[in-house]
Amino acid sequence: MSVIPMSSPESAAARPARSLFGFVGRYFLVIAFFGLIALFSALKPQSFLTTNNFSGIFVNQIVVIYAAIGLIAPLIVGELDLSVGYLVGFGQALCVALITLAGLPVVLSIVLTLAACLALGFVNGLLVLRFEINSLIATLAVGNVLYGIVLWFTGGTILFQNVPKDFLAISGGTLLSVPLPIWYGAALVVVAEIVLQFLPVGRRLYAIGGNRRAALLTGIPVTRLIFASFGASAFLCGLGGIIIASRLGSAQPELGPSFLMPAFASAFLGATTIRPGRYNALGTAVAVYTVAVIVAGLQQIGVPFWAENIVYGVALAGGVGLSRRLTRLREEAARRDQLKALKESRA
Amino acid sequence: MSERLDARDIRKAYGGAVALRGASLSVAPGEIHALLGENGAGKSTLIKCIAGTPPPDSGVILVDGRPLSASHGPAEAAAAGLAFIHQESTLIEDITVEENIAIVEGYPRRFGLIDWRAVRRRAEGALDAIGVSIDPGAKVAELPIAARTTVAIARALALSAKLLVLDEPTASLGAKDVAALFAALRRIAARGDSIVFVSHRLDEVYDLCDRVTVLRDGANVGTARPADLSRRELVGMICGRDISFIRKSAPAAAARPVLAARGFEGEVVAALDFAIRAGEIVGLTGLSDAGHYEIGQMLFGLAPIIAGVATLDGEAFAPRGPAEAIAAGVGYVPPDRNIEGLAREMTLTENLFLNPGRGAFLDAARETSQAAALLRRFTVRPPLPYALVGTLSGGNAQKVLLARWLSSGAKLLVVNDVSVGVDIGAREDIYAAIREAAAAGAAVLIATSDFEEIENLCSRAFVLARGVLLAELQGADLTVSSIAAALAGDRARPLTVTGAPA
Repeated sequence: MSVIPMSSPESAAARPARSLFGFVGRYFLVIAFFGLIALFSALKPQSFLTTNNFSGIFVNQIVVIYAAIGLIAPLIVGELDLSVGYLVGFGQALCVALITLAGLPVVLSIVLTLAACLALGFVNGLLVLRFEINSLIATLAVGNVLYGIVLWFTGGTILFQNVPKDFLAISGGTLLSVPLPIWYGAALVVVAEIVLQFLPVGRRLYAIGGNRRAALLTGIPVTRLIFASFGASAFLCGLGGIIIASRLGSAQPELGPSFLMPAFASAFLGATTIRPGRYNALGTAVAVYTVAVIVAGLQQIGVPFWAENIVYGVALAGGVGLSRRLTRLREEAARRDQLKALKESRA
Repeated sequence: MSERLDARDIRKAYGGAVALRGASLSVAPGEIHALLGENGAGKSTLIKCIAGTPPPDSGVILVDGRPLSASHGPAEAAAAGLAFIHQESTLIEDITVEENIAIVEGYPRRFGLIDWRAVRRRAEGALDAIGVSIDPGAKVAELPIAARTTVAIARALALSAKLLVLDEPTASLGAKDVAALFAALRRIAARGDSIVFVSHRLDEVYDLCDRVTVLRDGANVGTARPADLSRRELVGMICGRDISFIRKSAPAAAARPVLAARGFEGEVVAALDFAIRAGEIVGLTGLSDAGHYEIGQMLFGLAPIIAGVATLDGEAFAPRGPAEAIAAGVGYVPPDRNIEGLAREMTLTENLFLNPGRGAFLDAARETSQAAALLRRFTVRPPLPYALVGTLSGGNAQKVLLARWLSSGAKLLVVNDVSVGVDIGAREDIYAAIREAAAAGAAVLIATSDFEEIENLCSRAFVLARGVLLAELQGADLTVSSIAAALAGDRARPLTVTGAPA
């Protein structure tokens, strides 16, 4: 990567990666990720530095990847979605309940589950856009209703009997000796990156978040795309729920809400890296694993179980704070460059 | 007689960039003093240095002969009697006028509780002192913008300010509101208080100000009485180069009509017939409630067409939203670029192509090179495709917004208030770009209450009052004074000082 200052007027551009400072800022989280792995590996070589441990960390976090990347869709258009954790819980419980309690075929259960999640995303969108309820309130409400429904149809107990092998195979197998869930995660990151960065619809989503009125005045179908964002978020949470249910071989009614914090922490922390100042899929994935490595590493060096929650909280506030700070620094640098360019052009 | 304000040899640098290299400003008691200069000339830095936000690196600031300390802050400036009224209102919109005054002046108390009758009396006193009639019990959000500025001024004076600094107070006001504001300012000056007036509109400077100080590149160009300067000399001082006032081109003869409307009726606009030919720049003007902006909104699908028919290129045209209007070939430069036009935290390239139309994939390299070419063509400074829009000055941000629409190949362009908050050099660039678009065959509608802009840019103009057409002016008959005369003929409206709306 070039760290040599360029002499063209373009060099003054606020393109972060073109200076050493910008490069470190942009890839800070990636560097931290590898640094933490090295640190914990040095501290606990026999347990941390093992294939099993890494595989465990990576596979377990796929559901968080799905929830967090789902979450960035509403975040990009400027809305919050607090139902993400509850939707994961709803998805896994509904899918397992349809298979084991209702006796439906696996494929049909999955299709119905995803359809239900998509519909719930549209309910979020409807409450926010049609009834003009603040998205924080609307999605919190929907999430809690879902939690109640899950407790109702599971009876508050773990569903683990009569789960067929076909269903377990979704997450159980490997491809090229890599566990299937890791492929699912990688596929999602690639697709989300392409949609957000290389398709016009991605630009339109960021435009809505950047200035909703301006987006409307350039002919962007603002309402439809915000609807779609809530739908995408809920759909991906449903997928995440199915993947984790298949991995656990059961449905756990209490599981959903525990994914809310990791998803938010990762989405906000992810906005500090790869494309700083912007919610982005690759950055979110890096954030998911950085936080996961911290949690796993701390557990292995003997930090008690409650540390996890503290890590997520700190990551969330830290991510937001750092992101604001970076944006601020970038603006200041750009303004300085601009003044300099202006003076040079007059001299 | 000692000067009210005497700022001498003010220097200020931000990082390596020198913003002020020894600028001075002196204002006499009772004087209205204009501070002019292009964006980046150092006007706002000088004002900030005087306000102490932050204080200058070096220099002396005397208020009535007494120096402010070298590291003075806003509190010391306020205590010395300096008040700063910015474009962005410092009033709290959700509470009433009297509460806004009490919140800085202190709530009068009775038996330890707020004495609301005294709050009302003091607010009335403050407003009466500058001769405006505004209901102190009205919520600020309900007041027209002109009235908000006068409330801010009244509040500053109630706090015993002796020198007011007004930063582009007329930027979003119509002609009538400007007149009311100026009347209040003249009364304030007549009492012996001083005013520093920052504006990009030269006619206002000639109309209102006793003296003018011009800054360029962080230093003084000179101070003079406006009466001693021709307009051209003054513009030359501001820009440092001779700007020729290009007269509008003659109306394109017998070109095909792009837009024709019959019996066009909106919520304000009543039964209007008009047609615009390709290559024509047509003005829509009047006071702020004339309905001229509404016509543009109707053509872009933002306001309902209640009655009447329009044809665009011979085809029936009634857009139900911006997407339909754009598809039919209409472009729309909105009146407030920050609220309606640009995403400040996105790059110039992204703002130029905010809604990328054709093509399955975005081609980043092609976008960037197209953006670079557009930025050069529209003389955006600096022309950096990756810079964030939020870092641009008003004039350059406006050029980006204009570039988006003028390069879109639209047949009909609706351009609202294009030079609000834009310095003179950038304004000429913007006018040139609009003329170029018209010359290339676009029909352009200019909607604004800035009569000078209509005179400079348009070959024909419709003057409206409350939705009714008063006059259609063209060619040599289209001047600021003929527009004003057409409006003066509108006797139905009593000219009153700004007040709360009914």
